[in-house]
Amino acid sequence: MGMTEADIFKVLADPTRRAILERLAGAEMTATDLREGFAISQPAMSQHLAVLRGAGLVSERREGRFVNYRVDPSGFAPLHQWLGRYRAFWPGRIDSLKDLLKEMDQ
Amino acid sequence: MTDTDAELVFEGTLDAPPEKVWRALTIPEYLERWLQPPADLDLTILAAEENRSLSYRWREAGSGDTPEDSIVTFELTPDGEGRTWFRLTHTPPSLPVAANSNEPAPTMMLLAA
Repeated sequence: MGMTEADIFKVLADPTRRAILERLAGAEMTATDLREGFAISQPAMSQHLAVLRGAGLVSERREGRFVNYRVDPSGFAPLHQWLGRYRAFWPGRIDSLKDLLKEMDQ
Repeated sequence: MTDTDAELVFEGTLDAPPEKVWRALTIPEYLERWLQPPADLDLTILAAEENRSLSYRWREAGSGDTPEDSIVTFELTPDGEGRTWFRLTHTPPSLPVAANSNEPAPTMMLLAA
Protein backbone atom coordinates (compact mmCIF):
# COMPACT_ATOMS: atom_id res chain seq x y z
CA MET A 1 0.00 0.00 0.00
CA GLY A 2 2.96 2.28 0.53
CA MET A 3 1.49 4.49 3.22
CA THR A 4 4.23 5.85 5.42
CA GLU A 5 3.85 6.59 9.10
CA ALA A 6 3.66 10.30 8.22
CA ASP A 7 0.86 9.70 5.68
CA ILE A 8 -1.20 7.78 8.24
CA PHE A 9 -0.70 10.51 10.81
CA LYS A 10 -1.88 13.10 8.30
CA VAL A 11 -5.06 11.13 7.65
CA LEU A 12 -5.64 10.71 11.39
CA ALA A 13 -5.01 14.40 12.10
CA ASP A 14 -8.56 15.24 11.01
CA PRO A 15 -10.95 15.13 14.00
CA THR A 16 -13.95 14.12 11.85
CA ARG A 17 -12.02 11.17 10.44
CA ARG A 18 -11.01 10.13 13.94
CA ALA A 19 -14.66 10.36 15.03
CA ILE A 20 -15.70 8.20 12.05
CA LEU A 21 -13.12 5.58 13.06
CA GLU A 22 -14.37 5.70 16.65
CA ARG A 23 -17.89 4.88 15.47
CA LEU A 24 -16.76 2.19 13.06
CA ALA A 25 -14.64 0.57 15.76
CA GLY A 26 -17.85 -0.57 17.47
CA ALA A 27 -19.68 -1.95 14.44
CA GLU A 28 -19.78 -2.24 10.68
CA MET A 29 -21.99 0.54 9.23
CA THR A 30 -23.31 1.99 6.01
CA ALA A 31 -22.44 5.58 5.09
CA THR A 32 -26.03 6.58 5.90
CA ASP A 33 -25.87 5.04 9.41
CA LEU A 34 -22.53 6.66 9.93
CA ARG A 35 -23.75 10.12 9.04
CA GLU A 36 -26.26 10.12 11.95
CA GLY A 37 -24.96 12.43 14.62
CA PHE A 38 -22.46 14.07 12.28
CA ALA A 39 -23.26 17.54 10.94
CA ILE A 40 -21.72 16.82 7.54
CA SER A 41 -23.15 16.32 4.07
CA GLN A 42 -23.30 13.03 2.22
CA PRO A 43 -20.51 14.10 -0.21
CA ALA A 44 -18.31 15.17 2.71
CA MET A 45 -18.84 11.80 4.41
CA SER A 46 -18.02 10.00 1.13
CA GLN A 47 -14.87 12.06 0.82
CA HIS A 48 -13.72 11.16 4.35
CA LEU A 49 -14.48 7.48 3.75
CA ALA A 50 -12.53 7.59 0.49
CA VAL A 51 -9.49 9.06 2.29
CA LEU A 52 -9.77 6.47 5.07
CA ARG A 53 -10.06 3.65 2.52
CA GLY A 54 -7.13 5.03 0.56
CA ALA A 55 -5.05 4.97 3.71
CA GLY A 56 -6.05 1.36 4.38
CA LEU A 57 -7.70 2.29 7.69
CA VAL A 58 -11.20 1.35 6.57
CA SER A 59 -12.40 -1.41 4.26
CA GLU A 60 -15.77 -1.86 2.56
CA ARG A 61 -18.02 -4.85 2.06
CA ARG A 62 -20.85 -4.79 -0.50
CA GLU A 63 -24.14 -6.39 0.39
CA GLY A 64 -26.73 -5.97 -2.36
CA ARG A 65 -27.19 -2.23 -2.84
CA PHE A 66 -25.58 -1.41 0.49
CA VAL A 67 -21.95 -0.82 1.20
CA ASN A 68 -20.80 -1.58 4.73
CA TYR A 69 -17.72 0.07 6.15
CA ARG A 70 -15.49 -1.28 8.86
CA VAL A 71 -12.15 -0.53 10.49
CA ASP A 72 -9.22 -2.37 8.93
CA PRO A 73 -6.90 -3.06 11.87
CA SER A 74 -3.86 -3.77 9.66
CA GLY A 75 -3.91 -0.13 8.50
CA PHE A 76 -3.00 0.98 12.00
CA ALA A 77 0.38 -0.74 11.94
CA PRO A 78 2.33 2.56 11.60
CA LEU A 79 0.57 4.03 14.63
CA HIS A 80 1.29 0.85 16.56
CA GLN A 81 4.92 1.01 15.48
CA TRP A 82 5.14 4.57 16.77
CA LEU A 83 3.52 3.62 20.07
CA GLY A 84 5.76 0.55 20.34
CA ARG A 85 8.88 2.61 19.73
CA TYR A 86 8.12 5.05 22.53
CA ARG A 87 6.69 2.44 24.87
CA ALA A 88 10.18 0.93 24.69
CA PHE A 89 11.98 4.29 24.77
CA TRP A 90 10.65 5.94 27.91
CA PRO A 91 11.11 3.44 30.78
CA GLY A 92 14.91 3.44 30.40
CA ARG A 93 14.96 7.25 30.18
CA ILE A 94 12.84 7.56 33.32
CA ASP A 95 15.32 5.26 35.11
CA SER A 96 18.13 7.57 33.93
CA LEU A 97 16.19 10.57 35.26
CA LYS A 98 15.95 8.85 38.64
CA ASP A 99 19.70 8.21 38.62
CA LEU A 100 20.41 11.82 37.69
CA LEU A 101 18.17 13.13 40.49
CA LYS A 102 20.31 11.14 42.98
CA GLU A 103 23.47 12.79 41.65
CA MET A 104 22.18 16.37 41.46
CA ASP A 105 22.72 18.90 44.26
CA GLN A 106 19.60 19.95 46.11
CA MET B 1 -11.30 2.17 23.81
CA THR B 2 -9.97 1.81 20.28
CA ASP B 3 -6.53 1.72 18.76
CA THR B 4 -7.35 4.77 16.67
CA ASP B 5 -6.94 7.18 19.57
CA ALA B 6 -4.11 6.47 21.90
CA GLU B 7 -1.38 8.20 23.74
CA LEU B 8 1.34 6.88 25.99
CA VAL B 9 1.24 7.69 29.69
CA PHE B 10 3.95 6.84 32.19
CA GLU B 11 3.62 7.76 35.83
CA GLY B 12 5.22 7.10 39.15
CA THR B 13 6.97 8.64 42.15
CA LEU B 14 10.33 10.37 41.89
CA ASP B 15 12.45 10.64 45.02
CA ALA B 16 13.02 14.40 44.73
CA PRO B 17 10.89 17.54 45.19
CA PRO B 18 9.22 19.08 42.09
CA GLU B 19 11.69 22.00 42.07
CA LYS B 20 14.58 19.61 41.58
CA VAL B 21 12.77 17.50 38.98
CA TRP B 22 11.91 20.74 37.17
CA ARG B 23 15.62 21.55 36.85
CA ALA B 24 16.33 18.08 35.47
CA LEU B 25 13.63 18.64 32.84
CA THR B 26 14.53 22.18 31.81
CA ILE B 27 18.28 22.72 32.16
CA PRO B 28 19.68 21.52 28.81
CA GLU B 29 22.78 19.92 30.33
CA TYR B 30 20.64 17.81 32.69
CA LEU B 31 18.05 17.06 30.02
CA GLU B 32 20.75 15.74 27.66
CA ARG B 33 22.12 13.49 30.35
CA TRP B 34 19.00 11.55 31.18
CA LEU B 35 17.10 11.85 27.88
CA GLN B 36 20.02 11.03 25.55
CA PRO B 37 18.01 12.58 22.71
CA PRO B 38 18.08 10.85 19.31
CA ALA B 39 20.32 12.70 16.83
CA ASP B 40 17.49 14.03 14.66
CA LEU B 41 15.39 15.28 17.56
CA ASP B 42 14.35 18.93 17.79
CA LEU B 43 12.78 19.97 21.10
CA THR B 44 10.82 23.19 21.58
CA ILE B 45 9.00 24.27 24.72
CA LEU B 46 5.28 24.71 23.97
CA ALA B 47 4.04 25.51 27.46
CA ALA B 48 5.60 25.79 30.87
CA GLU B 49 4.25 26.32 34.35
CA GLU B 50 7.23 26.36 36.66
CA ASN B 51 7.58 23.28 38.89
CA ARG B 52 4.17 21.98 37.76
CA SER B 53 3.92 21.21 34.07
CA LEU B 54 5.99 21.37 30.93
CA SER B 55 5.20 20.51 27.30
CA TYR B 56 7.75 19.96 24.58
CA ARG B 57 7.11 19.73 20.89
CA TRP B 58 9.04 16.62 19.94
CA ARG B 59 10.03 16.90 16.27
CA GLU B 60 11.73 14.05 14.45
CA ALA B 61 12.68 13.53 10.83
CA GLY B 62 10.05 10.77 10.62
CA SER B 63 9.62 8.14 7.95
CA GLY B 64 8.33 10.44 5.16
CA ASP B 65 9.38 13.81 3.75
CA THR B 66 7.69 15.86 6.44
CA PRO B 67 8.91 15.98 10.02
CA GLU B 68 6.75 14.32 12.65
CA ASP B 69 5.67 16.43 15.57
CA SER B 70 4.48 14.78 18.71
CA ILE B 71 3.96 16.32 22.14
CA VAL B 72 5.62 15.30 25.38
CA THR B 73 4.08 16.68 28.56
CA PHE B 74 5.50 16.33 32.07
CA GLU B 75 3.24 16.96 35.04
CA LEU B 76 4.72 17.27 38.53
CA THR B 77 2.75 17.10 41.76
CA PRO B 78 4.34 17.34 45.22
CA ASP B 79 3.41 14.35 47.38
CA GLY B 80 3.76 16.30 50.66
CA GLU B 81 6.78 14.23 51.76
CA GLY B 82 9.42 15.87 49.61
CA ARG B 83 8.84 13.62 46.63
CA THR B 84 7.12 14.14 43.28
CA TRP B 85 4.28 12.35 41.57
CA PHE B 86 5.43 12.34 37.96
CA ARG B 87 3.26 11.89 34.90
CA LEU B 88 4.63 11.83 31.36
CA THR B 89 2.23 11.90 28.40
CA HIS B 90 3.49 11.34 24.87
CA THR B 91 0.84 12.17 22.27
CA PRO B 92 1.39 10.79 18.75
CA PRO B 93 1.61 13.21 15.79
CA SER B 94 -1.96 12.42 14.75
CA LEU B 95 -3.51 13.73 17.93
CA PRO B 96 -2.98 17.46 18.36
CA VAL B 97 -3.91 17.96 22.01
CA ALA B 98 -5.33 21.48 21.71
CA ALA B 99 -7.72 20.53 18.89
CA ASN B 100 -9.09 17.68 20.88
CA SER B 101 -8.99 18.92 24.46
CA ASN B 102 -12.75 18.81 25.09
CA GLU B 103 -12.80 15.13 24.25
CA PRO B 104 -10.05 13.34 26.15
CA ALA B 105 -8.50 10.45 24.29
CA PRO B 106 -8.56 7.07 25.97
CA THR B 107 -5.11 6.44 27.30
CA MET B 108 -2.90 3.45 27.54
CA MET B 109 -1.72 3.49 31.11
CA LEU B 110 1.77 2.27 31.82
CA LEU B 111 3.33 2.40 35.23
CA ALA B 112 6.76 3.92 35.22
CA ALA B 113 7.62 2.94 38.75
